Amino acid sequence: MKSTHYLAYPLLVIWALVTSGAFAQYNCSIYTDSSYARACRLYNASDSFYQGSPQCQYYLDSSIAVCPRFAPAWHEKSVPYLKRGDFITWKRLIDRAVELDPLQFLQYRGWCRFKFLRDYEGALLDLKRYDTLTGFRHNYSNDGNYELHIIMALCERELGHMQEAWRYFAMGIDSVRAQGGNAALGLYDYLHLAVTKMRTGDYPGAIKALREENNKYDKFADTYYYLGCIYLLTGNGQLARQYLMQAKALISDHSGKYHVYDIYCQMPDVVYPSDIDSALARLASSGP
Amino acid sequence: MKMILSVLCFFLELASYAQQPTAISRADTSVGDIIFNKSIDDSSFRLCDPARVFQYYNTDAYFLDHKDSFSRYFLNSYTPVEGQEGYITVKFIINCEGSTGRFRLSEMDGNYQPCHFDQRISGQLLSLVKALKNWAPARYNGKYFDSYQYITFHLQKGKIVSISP
Repeated sequence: MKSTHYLAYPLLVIWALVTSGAFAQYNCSIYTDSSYARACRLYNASDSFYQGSPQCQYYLDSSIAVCPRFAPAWHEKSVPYLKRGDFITWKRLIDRAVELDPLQFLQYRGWCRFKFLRDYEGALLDLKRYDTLTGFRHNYSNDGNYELHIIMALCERELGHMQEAWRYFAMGIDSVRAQGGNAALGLYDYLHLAVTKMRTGDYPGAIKALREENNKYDKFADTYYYLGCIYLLTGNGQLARQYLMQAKALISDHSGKYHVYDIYCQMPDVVYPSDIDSALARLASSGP
Repeated sequence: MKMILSVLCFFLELASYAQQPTAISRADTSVGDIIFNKSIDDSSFRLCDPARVFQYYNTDAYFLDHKDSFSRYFLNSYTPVEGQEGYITVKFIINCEGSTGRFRLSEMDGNYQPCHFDQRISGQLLSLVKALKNWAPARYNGKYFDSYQYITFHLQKGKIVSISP
């Protein structure tokens, strides 16, 4: 009975192919093995349906059934479980993708362990292994926001391993900048470096990093908040007020463009309006 | 002509898989859907549109926008229980009126394997999530929708060390 329903899906796929042009995701012609090519086509067909829907998962299951060694299908099948909080199933599926194609999916798994679960030790295991596999090249997280050594630096920082954190910050910032200039740097690199320096009491170093962050993008409320906090800590009330008020104005903008944000997770070192209000209250109570 | 033949071949290929329902079965629900269970769910909790429940990341999420206050609430309210480590996830639905229901608990250890936490830990966290009221519902194009939300607690030595997402 169910199989008759399934026959409707290929028709939908073809309709989507004709009308949307969004069919091709992988170039399946690169596969010389016919089972890989067929799995690839089924994988591409899944893209026509809403992620995590029965239809989408059905095509991915079909892809896996046709060729269980086609790693992208295992990865794609895992994604909705990750986004919807079923980490046990996600890990089981993504582990299979990593096992089949570590060069493509190991860094992704590490990034997700960091981002979705704050599993710093697990993320480091994956990212260190990936770093070795790729010959310590510069690679980026799947969302494009982070050079992977920055993620490793943040993991080490959160685990309290500061020497390792500094080493990875140098690899993720200094080395990238030397090779590709400022444009190659991640959007939040200097902000994270600044917060790390601030935590260790290196206020001049933190200010320098925050000014570099402003050279990258000068409208993050988060940057001005930390500048304000440093000047508050070092007794410069006038500059503290100026920067904290600037942070307040930017974070109050409802376009959402002016503070660090991610639609899936709270990112490290983000600032909330309540943080700025608390800093302003501390400034007010510290006297003229 | 070649393209038409390719499309036809593709159609036939897919149809051949479709005729093997014993090999691959299709789920009736989307990944992560929480189906009403009369033995555990509050029957007075209603969804506005059961056919269209958003994910928290489909719109601005109230939890993420106010994570600072949520985190303070959990950290201040939770009484640590010495012993276990791992992750506890509470998943639920926020309906279009901002009420919550259909709570589900998932527990895993540090190796991402299913496990069971002491009831004093899992029960306490579930109660804290259930006690949260006045959620802002998901809003899209000026309309309010039901949506899924999850909260994951990372526990080490009985203490909450992080809260996700």
